[in-house]
Amino acid sequence: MDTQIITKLQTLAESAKYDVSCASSGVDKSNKGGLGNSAACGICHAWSSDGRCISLLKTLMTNDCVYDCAYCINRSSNDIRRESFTAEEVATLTIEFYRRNYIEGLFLSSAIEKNPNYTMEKILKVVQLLRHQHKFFGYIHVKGIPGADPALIRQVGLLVDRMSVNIELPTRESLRLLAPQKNPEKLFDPMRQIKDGILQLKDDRMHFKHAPAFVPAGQSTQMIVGATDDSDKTILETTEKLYKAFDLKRVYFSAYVPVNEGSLLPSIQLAPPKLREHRLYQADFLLRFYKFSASELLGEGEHNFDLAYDPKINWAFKHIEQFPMEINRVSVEELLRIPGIGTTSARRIMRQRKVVTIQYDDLSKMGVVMKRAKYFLTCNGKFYGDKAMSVCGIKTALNPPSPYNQMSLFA
Amino acid sequence: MIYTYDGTFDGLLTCIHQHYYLEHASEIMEEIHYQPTLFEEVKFVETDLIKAKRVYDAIMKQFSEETYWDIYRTYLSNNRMKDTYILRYLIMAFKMGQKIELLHAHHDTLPVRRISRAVGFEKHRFLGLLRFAEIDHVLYAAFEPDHNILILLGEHFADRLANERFVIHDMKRVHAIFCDHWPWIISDFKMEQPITYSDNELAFQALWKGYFEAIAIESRQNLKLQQSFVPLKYRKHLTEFH
Ligand code: SF4
Repeated sequence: MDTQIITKLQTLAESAKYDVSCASSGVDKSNKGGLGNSAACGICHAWSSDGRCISLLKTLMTNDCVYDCAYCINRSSNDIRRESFTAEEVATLTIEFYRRNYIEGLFLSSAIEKNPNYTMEKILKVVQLLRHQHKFFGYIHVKGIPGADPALIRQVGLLVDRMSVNIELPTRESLRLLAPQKNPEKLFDPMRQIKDGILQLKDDRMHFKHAPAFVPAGQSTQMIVGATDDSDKTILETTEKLYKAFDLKRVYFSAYVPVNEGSLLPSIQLAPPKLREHRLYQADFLLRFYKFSASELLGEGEHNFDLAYDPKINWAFKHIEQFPMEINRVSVEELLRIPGIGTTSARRIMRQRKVVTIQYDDLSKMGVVMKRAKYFLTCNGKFYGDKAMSVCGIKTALNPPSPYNQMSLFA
Repeated sequence: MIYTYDGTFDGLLTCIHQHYYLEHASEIMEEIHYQPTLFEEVKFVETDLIKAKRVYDAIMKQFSEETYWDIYRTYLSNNRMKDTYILRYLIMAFKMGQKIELLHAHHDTLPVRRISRAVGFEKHRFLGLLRFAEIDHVLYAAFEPDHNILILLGEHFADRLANERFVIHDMKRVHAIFCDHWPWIISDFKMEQPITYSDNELAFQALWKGYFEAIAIESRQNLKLQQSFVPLKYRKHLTEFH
């Protein structure tokens, strides 16, 4: 490796860092005579100084873009250093980082170099080198490039674990405004193709056991938060639709970091809306694991989440008449709606209930956050919240809560 | 009666056996941790593989594998009370049968559940935090975990690095996993001289450090959060913090 490569790596990682989807989870596969495996639970290898987990070598193939999307640091009109990796360089870096246990695998994205097909071909080359030449069994996530030949997308899909297409903005109007060269209709083509590929595979597997895997860890996408004035409601509804229409595994949100000046964009002085991003992630959890719907979380006339309270407790405030719930009687779905009870503590409660009645003191030992939960439950008929059940009373008692703690989404 | 044992898992299981067939134990602890008291009698229990196997079989027969792992992980922890917690857990478990697994908050089950989780958590952490360096075609990783988790790492890395020779070295407990393709072994191990890295190895370390810096978003800097994921005590062996 020449000495230039470190500059290249730093430039291209720098350009890729705003892409937040980093998880390596979703597939469990063991080594079949080469290098590497994947654990379904996902393994983090390092945490950068912003506190985000590093699990994959996340880089662009190139930042030399022919498009000019307003929000993007790599847009063609920006005067920045342009670099391109060769396929061999990316493959070697991946293998050597992987052997040293720095990473779980590769997350390869790219600007549009020359045209979509040229770009997708380069990505394919990297993946082929890794899987065929290096016999690499670790995790690979690549970006599907909208506008690339479906045949190329299919070839890549047969070799990678996850493929994603970032839609970046939640509405057609925002896309037209800020990413005029991207065709919103075309944007969804690869998504649709990946979904159909996965469905086709399920079908094939019923007939031939060894039909080749196609994007086994599924697909994901990312939306930027705060580059346009799209509301949380718009973003969350788009999220819900994406889960339904394309069977996405994850939708990621990325608080917009102003990198460019422009009349259509938030000022470059503005801090990224991290708390808003956090609320959206909480809401996304509620959609995926707590059986909430987007319209329950933000109803008629509500546009954005309350930044002072998390979406779940807010929902409880709106439906205060459904509380308190009796911990020893309600269904698991109802348990999950109690603020302070998460999926793990709900499971523990349901299990222990089969053997003995739950006592109030047990709850915190089971991981329930009593500071919040006590206002919303009874235990063997007794209410322990020292305030009367009223939204105002609870809000004062919680005393506008610790503004935000990234660590626990909610307990 | 306090039972002490040699620190092996079989030794601990032998103590459990003695509790039922010889005399009830009030506490169990490793011999090296025992400090004499005036009030309690103490007895060193000689490890007996047949008795240990009986207890092991009884656990496996009556409970799910998860219960066995809870006990085993607790045994690996650095908690000084761990053996007594295991004793109490098993007394309760043999009384209640499989239902014990549904019971989370009871004072005889909670310590084992909590400690087992902490040990499992540290193991999971090190699946990611181990750092290998290539030295004469061998991948070498040193670490100093709180709990004795070395044995829990073998399977994962033997699969992941199937075509490599590697060593994972717990410097605190001076033992290491050695693997030259499958299978792997654990043996006592001490590094005699300081390591010197080849230029090639140093180049990849530099690339990793360069990458590590480039990937952070300055406007989101949050060192406290970073520290909660990577406590200072682990950083000594992490390439990116050197
Ligand atoms: S196509 Fe991608 S890399 Fe190019 S300017 Fe648009 S967002 Fe940036």
